[in-house]
Amino acid sequence: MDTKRLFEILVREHAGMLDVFLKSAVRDPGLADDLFQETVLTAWNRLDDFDQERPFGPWLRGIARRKVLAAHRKSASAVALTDPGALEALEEQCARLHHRPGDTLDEKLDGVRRCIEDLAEPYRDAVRARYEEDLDGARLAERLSTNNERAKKLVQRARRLLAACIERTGGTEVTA
Amino acid sequence: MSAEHDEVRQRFAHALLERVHGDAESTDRERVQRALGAIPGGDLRDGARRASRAGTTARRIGGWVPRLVAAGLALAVVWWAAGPGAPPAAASVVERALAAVRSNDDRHYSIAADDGGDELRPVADVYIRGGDQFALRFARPGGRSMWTGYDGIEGWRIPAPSRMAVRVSSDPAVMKARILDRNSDLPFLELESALVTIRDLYVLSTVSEPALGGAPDPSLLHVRAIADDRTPPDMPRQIDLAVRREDGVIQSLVASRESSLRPRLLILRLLDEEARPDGWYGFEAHIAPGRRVRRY
Repeated sequence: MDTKRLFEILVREHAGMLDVFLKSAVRDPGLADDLFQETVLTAWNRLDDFDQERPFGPWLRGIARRKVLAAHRKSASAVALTDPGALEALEEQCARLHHRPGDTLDEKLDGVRRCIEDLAEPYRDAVRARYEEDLDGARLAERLSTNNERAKKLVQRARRLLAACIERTGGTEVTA
Repeated sequence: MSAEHDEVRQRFAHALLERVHGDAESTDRERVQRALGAIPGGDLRDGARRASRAGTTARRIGGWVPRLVAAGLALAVVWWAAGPGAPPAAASVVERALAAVRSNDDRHYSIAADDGGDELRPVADVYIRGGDQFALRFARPGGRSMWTGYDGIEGWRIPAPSRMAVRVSSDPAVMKARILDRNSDLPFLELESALVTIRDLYVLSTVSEPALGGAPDPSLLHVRAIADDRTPPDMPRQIDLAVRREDGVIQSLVASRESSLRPRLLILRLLDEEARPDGWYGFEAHIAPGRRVRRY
């Protein structure tokens, strides 16, 4: 099998986790998409630098990390995680997710699904309204029968509870 | 916990929630395709186009076993007529299995994984008709099921949460690729292409002992396929087939690979051969009335 075909296989295997990494680091989904493209292109151009004894996913996300920092220099507001330490912590989260049971990212996310089901009702409703029904701002508040500020806090709290549940059930504990 | 790490946790949870609730995985393929298409030189882009037309290739699919399935489609045309010679007995068994798979009969298989623990891990069960129609049920937590399938005309996916829309596409190449991408550890969606790959990319031999142990069954023929330098490195190192002597129907298929962590087996077993009703391989047979359907 030639190098290009192997590269394509590797990129496909790690595309989901790269997507998670970039969506975590960047606020603007369009920018995340652009950085995805740039990361793959750079990885291809630097393939000679890749140590085949080491895993491909962290190397790919290492390139993405530099892309995120470069994007922040151009547009501070589009990037959520701007500190190298935060991006390192994010990489730790990805690595731990990678080591959860399951052969695919979708399967590894079963634990997240269980954590969503375990959320108390107000938080589960908030997650559903925000992510399943894709509501935001006033529409989210209306759906949750509350005001904007309270709706936002419900979602934030739900995410915190979810993160804690994921860490508690194994795999993505933050060490710092 | 510092504010910085709280932000990391929040953002990570946000990305996971987007992924769980959205259709992110089914768009991965397009995203990768675009990224690879941007690489100068054209080879990858052309390859991706060829892959899309062919329905599937090893390069398009995320997991190792689907690659086994996938490679068959892309390579079959080339190798069908000029496949390297395998020992005739083993090759003829695989040919008989191919003929049986291409018949229009319904077959129902279980798929399980051996992760090295005490028990097999059930992965899914799959209904197969002919070379390409299938309906696959993937168990989800809480007793729910995710269905995915292809009826020869439309590919479809039914997410486990009933609130989420069924995804349907009449573009078979795109939809089949999405299904395979999304179920990258669910191997035997296309037994025909799996068998073509086994025939053409492995060294075949007949064996007398069942791969899964137990007493030899005289009604079965056993073929062992061992990878060699023709076999892409991401494919299983060994595949054991048990084929019914009478008609070539596959009774079991065991794919194994060497893992840096632990041995891995993926096991396909025939459950029954009951005829399924008309429409079984379409999505309508597996949803409640009123379920939203999104076509693209």
